Amino acid sequence: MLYSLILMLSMNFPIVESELSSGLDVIVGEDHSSPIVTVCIVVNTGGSCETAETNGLAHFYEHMFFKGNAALPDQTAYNNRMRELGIIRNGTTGNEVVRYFLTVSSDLFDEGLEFMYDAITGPLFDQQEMVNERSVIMNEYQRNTSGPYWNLWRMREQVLSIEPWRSSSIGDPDVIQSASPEVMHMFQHKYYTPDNAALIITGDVDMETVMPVVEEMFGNWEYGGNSDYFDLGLNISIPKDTTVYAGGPEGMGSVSIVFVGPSMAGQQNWTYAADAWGQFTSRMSGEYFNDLVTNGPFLNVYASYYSQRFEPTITFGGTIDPELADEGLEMMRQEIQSMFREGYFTEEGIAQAVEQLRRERLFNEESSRDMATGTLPFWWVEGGGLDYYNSYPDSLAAVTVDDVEAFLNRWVKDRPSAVFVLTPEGEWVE
Amino acid sequence: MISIILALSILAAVPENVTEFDLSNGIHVISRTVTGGEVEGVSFFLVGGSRVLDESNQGIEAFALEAAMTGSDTYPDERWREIMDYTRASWNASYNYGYSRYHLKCLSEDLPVLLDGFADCLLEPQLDSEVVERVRNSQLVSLQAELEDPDNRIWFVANRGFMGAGHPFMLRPDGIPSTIESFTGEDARQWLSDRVKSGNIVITHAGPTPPGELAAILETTFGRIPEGGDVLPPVPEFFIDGDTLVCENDETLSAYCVVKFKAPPAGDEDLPAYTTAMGVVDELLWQVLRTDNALTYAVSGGSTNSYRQNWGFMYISTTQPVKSAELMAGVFRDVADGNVDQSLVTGVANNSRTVQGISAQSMDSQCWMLGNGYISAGDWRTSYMLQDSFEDLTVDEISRALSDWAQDAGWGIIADSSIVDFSEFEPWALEGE
Repeated sequence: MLYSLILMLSMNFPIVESELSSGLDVIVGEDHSSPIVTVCIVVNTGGSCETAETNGLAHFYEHMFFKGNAALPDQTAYNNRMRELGIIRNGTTGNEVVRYFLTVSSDLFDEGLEFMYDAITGPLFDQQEMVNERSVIMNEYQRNTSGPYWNLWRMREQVLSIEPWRSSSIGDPDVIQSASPEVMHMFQHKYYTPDNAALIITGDVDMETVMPVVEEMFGNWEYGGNSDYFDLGLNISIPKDTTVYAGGPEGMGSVSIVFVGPSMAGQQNWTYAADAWGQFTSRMSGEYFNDLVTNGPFLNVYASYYSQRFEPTITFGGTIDPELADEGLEMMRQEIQSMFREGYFTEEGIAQAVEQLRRERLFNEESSRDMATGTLPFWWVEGGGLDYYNSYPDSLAAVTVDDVEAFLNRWVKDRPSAVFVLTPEGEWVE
Repeated sequence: MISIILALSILAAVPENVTEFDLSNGIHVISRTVTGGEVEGVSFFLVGGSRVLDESNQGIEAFALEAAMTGSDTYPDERWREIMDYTRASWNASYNYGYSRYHLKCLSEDLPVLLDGFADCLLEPQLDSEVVERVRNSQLVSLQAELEDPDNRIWFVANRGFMGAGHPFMLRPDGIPSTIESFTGEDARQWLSDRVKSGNIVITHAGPTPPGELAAILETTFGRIPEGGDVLPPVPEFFIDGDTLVCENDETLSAYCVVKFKAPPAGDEDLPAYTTAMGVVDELLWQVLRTDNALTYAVSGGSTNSYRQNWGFMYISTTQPVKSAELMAGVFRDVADGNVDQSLVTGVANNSRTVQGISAQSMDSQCWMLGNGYISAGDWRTSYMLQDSFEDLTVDEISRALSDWAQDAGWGIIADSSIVDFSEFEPWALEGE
């Protein structure tokens, strides 16, 4: 039974958020620009929910989502059904969110929704399919190690995280190799329940007719009440200034200075000023860019706040000739200090940054499929529902220079930072 | 004089509301009007790609365009950056064997100033020495990241045996480090002066701005571009004659393997059946290599379809390249011999229809489809009609297309030679006994 309906503000098409009595959030966006529908299930889980002993299993679960289930006995049957329906699908596992999504022709919406329902509610975790999938995931791990930024990523996990395994969703090879159906069922019981998930549907559907279909199909998904997601603690700590030189390929260099940022869990009031600050600072016509790129050694620079519940960061960074990395690092530090100078931030500049963020939101809402698979799942998880995303423009518009300065004073001034320098001479992670 | 012709769409996948017109200097414009939003997409295609490059200047067009786009006499560096800031517009550049493409994403209200600035950067670029150096260094870093990643490099390893030395597609449109290091600002200026001519340019648009309004904006901006253009030489066939294998050593935990083989050129009547055949190969590679044998995380098959010479390909990352390559060749032969179920062929058409629906939501994708179809086959509808051609194909038709076109195979493998013994390798045949 539906017990709430909230009409959301979207620039390009209407979105309605509802909730089933089982606790499943249902978000529907009606967009008739193309005869397709995208269905996404987003779950409050990911690497952050793992222990050292289960590191990699949230990601393993994502792989098993695409295997046999109560309706389709194995992956071959699963693949055959996808072809019948012309389904394009994927899934992603991050540290704080897991998403599964499919797109199907709108005349096959009911069948596509049923396909998603069967996968989310009835995974089999067949022993032989799991044994096969261990090798598949190990190859995914091996591929990752070939990338030029592998060392940098690994070192960030080690330096920034209180519990490094919570930052590494790809996981520990030993854990991957020993994954069992029992531990998959444990994850399912704890996190894969309607009260810990949202169902997002966007595209060529009729708002009024889609809700009864959803209610009938997903109404039997049993309430869980077992998730500890919202009780998990922060997983970032920078107790003292730290500098790390990570090994990278010849000719490639980068510098980043990282501070702990406000968490989306309980510290959201800081986040609007954080975003306005990041946008203001990253402007190509601004002082930061001019000093470090136009008149400095960097090839490009950025300044950003990453909205996260468990590992929120404030980062000043840029790409640079590795031979100039130390010089660039010193200049970037000076630039950070200059931000505390009176008059560095202006009301006009902050207003422009706010307008830029408004426009960015418009660009992000261009495609309803991208909304269903990217923007809406991200903000549903990080905001703990869509209220944050819905009220964001008004909250952002209220940001002043005082707010931005207060943000910097609280989160950056005299705070310890972690510096990461990518150079060919840096350390290598085995 | 601008003449506007409204396109007639008689096939299911061909969109309505597409308008074609020429600017007074002859630049051809294709616009798809998409109402309901404020986001505009405009793509600028500079046609030529590898065919206008040689060994010593590969990458010059990418270098020249990137450097030019930093500012012009009327829109100097600082002012141009201010405009980019307040509009929050983005430019996305790509360079391939057939053309360079610069794509603009912006709001409707910003189209006039951004297109004016873009045209000005092309015609009167500043090319200050410091900016040129910054562009050069940025490009070198990007190239280095690509070259260091075996997952990216493997595609070019396979080219050595498949395309052969001297083929224009062996030239890299995005350049190589030695050429990028050699270019000067004056080289860039001269290149733009030679190449930015109306006959070399196609512009496509998708978004809410109506055709008449768009035509007026473009006439005052890109209408200033001088007339003329290059006569492009034909693209020769790939030189492969017999199966080949190129191996490269790299201390990587996963090996990478790619094989390429000939495919029908853009506009060829066999292209739909061939493309579908490679879609079936893709489905079976997943089934056999990943589901049944757990040899890989990433495996795929497919084909290019927009060049004057196209190719099919199969790709895998795996710790067992020999076993994988044998199985990949086996999958290919099964499809070429017609040993597949009709449901696979139907499934590829079903999936393709969904992909087409996804691309319709993106102004970027629409701009690409309009321009790519026009440049590769002379008609923007080609991109959309390809979808219609997938319907009702049979196993016999796809297997014949595959076996007719793809005989010799150019394999490439990157692996750690201390783990994998290269001397045991022979290229795997795609043709049956």
